[in-house]
Amino acid sequence: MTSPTPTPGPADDAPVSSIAESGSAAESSSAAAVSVPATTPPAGPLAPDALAALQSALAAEQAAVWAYGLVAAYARDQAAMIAEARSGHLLRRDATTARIIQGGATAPEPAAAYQVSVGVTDSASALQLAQDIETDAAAAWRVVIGSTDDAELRGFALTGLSDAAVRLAMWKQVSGASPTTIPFPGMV
Amino acid sequence: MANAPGTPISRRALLLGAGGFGGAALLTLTGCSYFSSDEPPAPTVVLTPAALDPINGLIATTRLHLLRLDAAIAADQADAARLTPLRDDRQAQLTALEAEFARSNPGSTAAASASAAPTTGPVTLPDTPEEIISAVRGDAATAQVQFTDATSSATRYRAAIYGSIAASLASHRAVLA
Repeated sequence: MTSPTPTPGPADDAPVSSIAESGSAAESSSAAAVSVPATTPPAGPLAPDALAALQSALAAEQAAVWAYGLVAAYARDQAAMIAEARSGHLLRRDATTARIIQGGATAPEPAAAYQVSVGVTDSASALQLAQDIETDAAAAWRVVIGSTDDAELRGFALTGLSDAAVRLAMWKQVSGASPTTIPFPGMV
Repeated sequence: MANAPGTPISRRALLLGAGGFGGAALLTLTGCSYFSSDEPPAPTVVLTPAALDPINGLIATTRLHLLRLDAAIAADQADAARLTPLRDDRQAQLTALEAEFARSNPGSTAAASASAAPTTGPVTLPDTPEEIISAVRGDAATAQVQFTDATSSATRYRAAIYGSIAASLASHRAVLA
């Protein structure tokens, strides 16, 4: 839903005020299934198919970080949710970059700007873009799960997929969409 | 008595050693030992590869939770609109799991499907709406753990399915919070 464009855009590394904390066993908040990604990937080269999937997932996370800046400009009533979602993608972007580098490959740089799936002109279209961001991220992480036999990497990818699925449901809820959940997040 | 290094082994010692080794080998080949006499009884239930398929446990859990969601929707009309989409998700997941079982085990019936199609007893749920929602959320958490565990050791194709279902269950917990 978001594709890179050569036009210049805002910096992606602006500090954020809130960080998504691990929910552990807590079930009382929407962040219950959102956790901080592991920052110390195991040593060793990545298999080619796993590497390709991870690089696609990194591209999705980089696009998400950029696109949430656009969402924030139009959905100001949802500033807290946007900040939490964006910081979650920032953490995951950095953890994914670290894994790729640790795996002996080169992590692609983010694009300066991205072409988004909807013309964002108001809060409703911004919330639609937020749903598209999470749909893209879920799809990318699902591909990673299906591209490796490494249980640890699958777990890392599953956390990314689950986080995206939870955020997607939350954005649907805020938008008044129904149903708010889907049976197979990441399947497009 | 052990021979010193370089000392030729006597003929008697050689024959005794060969006899001992031969006896032990004979006992091993016939399945006997000094401490047992009879063969173990043959098992009365023989597992087939289809019954050993670990997807059966996931199908059984999903089917059970589907029944509990049906009961929750019937018992808690105020939350029916919130629970019905979740029930639809679980039904779609059950259908996909059964299709995957059928694909992997052509000609076989999932163990969970065969045994759990008609239920013989009512599903018990708590009395209050809050407790019912809590029970449904607990079911989602239980299933999420089960599918997450299954993701780690499954084939790539199945891992993608299980991971997607685990993520869906995480979103169920979130919307019920």
